[in-house]
Amino acid sequence: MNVHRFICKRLLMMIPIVIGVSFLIFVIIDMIPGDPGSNLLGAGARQEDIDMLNEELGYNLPLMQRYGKYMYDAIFRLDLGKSYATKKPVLTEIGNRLPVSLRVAFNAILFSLVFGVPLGVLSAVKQNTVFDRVPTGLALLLAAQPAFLIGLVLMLIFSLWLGWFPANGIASWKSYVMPMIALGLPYGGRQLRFTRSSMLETIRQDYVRTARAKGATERMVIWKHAMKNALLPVITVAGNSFGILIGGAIATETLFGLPGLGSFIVSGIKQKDVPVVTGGIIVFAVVFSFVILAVDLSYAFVDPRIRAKYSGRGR
Amino acid sequence: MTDKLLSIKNLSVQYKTDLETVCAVNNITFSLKKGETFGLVGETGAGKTTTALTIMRLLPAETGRITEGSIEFTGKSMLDLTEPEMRSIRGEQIAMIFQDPMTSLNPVMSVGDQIAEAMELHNKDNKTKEQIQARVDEVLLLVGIPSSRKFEFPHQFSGGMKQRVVIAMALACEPVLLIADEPTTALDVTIQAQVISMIRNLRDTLGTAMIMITHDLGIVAQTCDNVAVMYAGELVEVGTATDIYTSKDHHPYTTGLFGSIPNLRSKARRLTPITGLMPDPTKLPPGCTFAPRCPKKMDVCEAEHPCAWRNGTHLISCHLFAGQENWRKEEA
Amino acid sequence: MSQVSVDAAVPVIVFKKESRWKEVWRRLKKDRLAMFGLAVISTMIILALLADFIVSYEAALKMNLRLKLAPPSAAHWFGCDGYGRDLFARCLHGARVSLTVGFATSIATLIAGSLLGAMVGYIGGKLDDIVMRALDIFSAIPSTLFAMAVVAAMGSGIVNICIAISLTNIPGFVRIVRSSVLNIAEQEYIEASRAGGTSTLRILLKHVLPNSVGTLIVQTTANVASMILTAATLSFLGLGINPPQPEWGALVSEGKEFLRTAPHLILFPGVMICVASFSMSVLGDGLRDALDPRLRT
Repeated sequence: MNVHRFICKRLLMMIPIVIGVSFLIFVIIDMIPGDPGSNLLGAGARQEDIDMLNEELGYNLPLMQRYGKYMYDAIFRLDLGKSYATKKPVLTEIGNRLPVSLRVAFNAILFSLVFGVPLGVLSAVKQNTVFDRVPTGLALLLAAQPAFLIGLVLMLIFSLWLGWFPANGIASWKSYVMPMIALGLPYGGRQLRFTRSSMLETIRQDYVRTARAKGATERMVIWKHAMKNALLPVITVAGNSFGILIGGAIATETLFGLPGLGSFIVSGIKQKDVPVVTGGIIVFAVVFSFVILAVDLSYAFVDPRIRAKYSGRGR
Repeated sequence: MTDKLLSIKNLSVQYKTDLETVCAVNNITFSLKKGETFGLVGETGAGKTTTALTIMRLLPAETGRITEGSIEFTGKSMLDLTEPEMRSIRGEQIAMIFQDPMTSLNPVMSVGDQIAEAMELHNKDNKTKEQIQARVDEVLLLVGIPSSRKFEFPHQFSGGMKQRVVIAMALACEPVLLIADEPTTALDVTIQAQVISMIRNLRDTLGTAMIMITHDLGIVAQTCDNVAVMYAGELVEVGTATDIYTSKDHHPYTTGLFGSIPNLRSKARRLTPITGLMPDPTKLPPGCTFAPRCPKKMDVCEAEHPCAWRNGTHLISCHLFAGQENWRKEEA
Repeated sequence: MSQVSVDAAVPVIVFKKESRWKEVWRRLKKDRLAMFGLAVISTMIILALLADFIVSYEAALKMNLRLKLAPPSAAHWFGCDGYGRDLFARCLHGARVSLTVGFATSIATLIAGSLLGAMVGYIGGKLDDIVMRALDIFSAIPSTLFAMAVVAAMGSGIVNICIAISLTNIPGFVRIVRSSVLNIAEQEYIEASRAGGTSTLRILLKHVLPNSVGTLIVQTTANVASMILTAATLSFLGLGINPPQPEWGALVSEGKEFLRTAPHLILFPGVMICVASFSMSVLGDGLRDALDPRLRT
């Protein structure tokens, strides 16, 4: 089936990007001073032991070879090195923390779509009335906020004053609520505005006029004709804005003390923990690439024009 | 009792925004009978599409206003109808096809679904799904498209075929009146000929009345029984095809239109356009709207708006015919 | 507005074209929200520039433990932080840092990105391929993450975060200018121009630049807003400014320790961030609508 070929093609195209990304990150983080030997064995260790460990870990090899070794270890031996701080394998820790981050991000996206898309459609359909001005104004305001700020305000109100949700840790599902809202509101504001403009543009299209000329009710025109077309670009924008979401997600994790990948990387940077930072950022970037790929693919499934392009059936 | 299918009297339509008022259609009167093809000719911006949209009551709600006049369809006044009543007429009794086939079809719905939708919206005798699909096949065949293509999407068809789909969609419910707004303007000349020929055949077979809106005098000659020439929102000349094409008497604008068609056989070096531009619809001149550009302008033309003068089936709105033999003043 | 006069006997059409920028400004003036944004951000910029005259920098650093966590009062408009430092002074000097980072990075990105984009678009060929692949790689890394990596390698401090944030936004501008160049380069009037002996630089300046100027302006203003936010986020995470230098994000971070007892510590700098970012956003939207009313929704 041609769709499979399309997916394979895109996956193949991702490989050079992933390699490029990992190389770039590796090179940058490599600039942090400090060698693995002295970091892992501690200040009191003997110089010979330090040198031997460095030799073993390939510290004295030229850059390209070190990178090669790192990638080889990462892919084939699933070894991303050991954290300088905890002396434990980085991959295990990432494995524990990545699901938390993904959960937070996924919740936020869901929240933003539920919040932003319907209001966006409403404000487009009722353009220039109060149903338009209020959501649009709100969206503008929200989209300009940093997630950590909203998080702090939420924390103040719902944790400290009302005591409904915990301010820290992942004790229960309740811990995920405030991060979801803190991240989801600014993202949702952006979704609202984009859905609105996409919807407004679609309503102006000729085929909407054709539907009316056929005798369709206004509701049918909106739901059946306009929305299907208007929501297509919303999907891509949701995917593209994901990068912005990550920034907010890292701050939110740190704020709410969630043991996610973002807070892991932050503490790694503060401690100059090279393996943690390198591994963490690369994994994050790779996951991000997969998300973008998934979004692109979903777009192909939803829009018959793109589908035709890739299955080679269209003109 | 009237045998008129559609009767429009003294219709005026304006577009009103905060900044300005556009007088798009000014006091037009015409009618057509069942099975008749009526041509509405004029330049871009003359008000032809506005007229069509007004008949369908598809004017933009915020800005479009019918300021005076009446539209009667099969004897009933259309302007009094409620929106649900209008919706039941649209697509079923009066169908409209638009100018640009490239954008008139929904890109994410299959062609068959869009044609079926036209029928599902007006399913008074409760046809089953199979019956509707059968009709979709039938109507596609009628416009020369194999019914196996009904699952395909608009982007998989060429421009000419897209327009055929649009026509199929319009005719699916067998309307008594089809309004075709420049159906071939966006197509190549060779495809134009095919589509026009197809429209003519369908009209002959189904007996559909048609309003053919176009700026192409050639198409009018091939298809229309009666013709009206529109300028700046007014009908400056109305008559049968014979009147328009063979009579010696014409509104100066009509003469200009015919004169500006390049003649293959003439040895002329230059084209003869009509000098000047159409007047600004927000600031129409007093008197005759064509006077500023008219080569036969008289003093009275700028002062007084001309009334219509009739000679048999031929109506011309011009002071030149006041007092001429055979021409009688037409009472409004 | 163009004025057309038509003489019936001999049609003479006279056009009076107002300067394009006057037109844009006129349209912008009509957008009240955008003008509000412009007013607010201008006020902030002026206050930040005059910060030293209003409150000295030392006042922002002066600790006074007796005033620890003091709420807002006549003497200290915004109250005091955990070390008894005047919050108003810190916010004002913080404005300097935050706004500088926002605008400086935005302009640097604009210039660097445009030059690179113009060069790449015009020269084309291998250089184009390499640069575009490189941009794809840059775009694959979320910008905050990348900024964090750069800060990790180079250390914190105002200059470093400026560099870090700029790098993440350069691809956007490169793409805009490059596509504009490619668009124009295909046009025949460029061939004609070149045949007439016009130099490359002149072509770029005279044809490419005017074409993309609108998009560039809109993108730059949007970037200022997002860069202020990114800088604040980095500082909040402790990866940005070096303490005790004030910056809004850092102030919020300091304040969050005392959230329960002294919420004013996060509210004042927080509001500053919101207001600055919001003003630039609406200004950017207003500019976009004013530059091309067809895009207005």
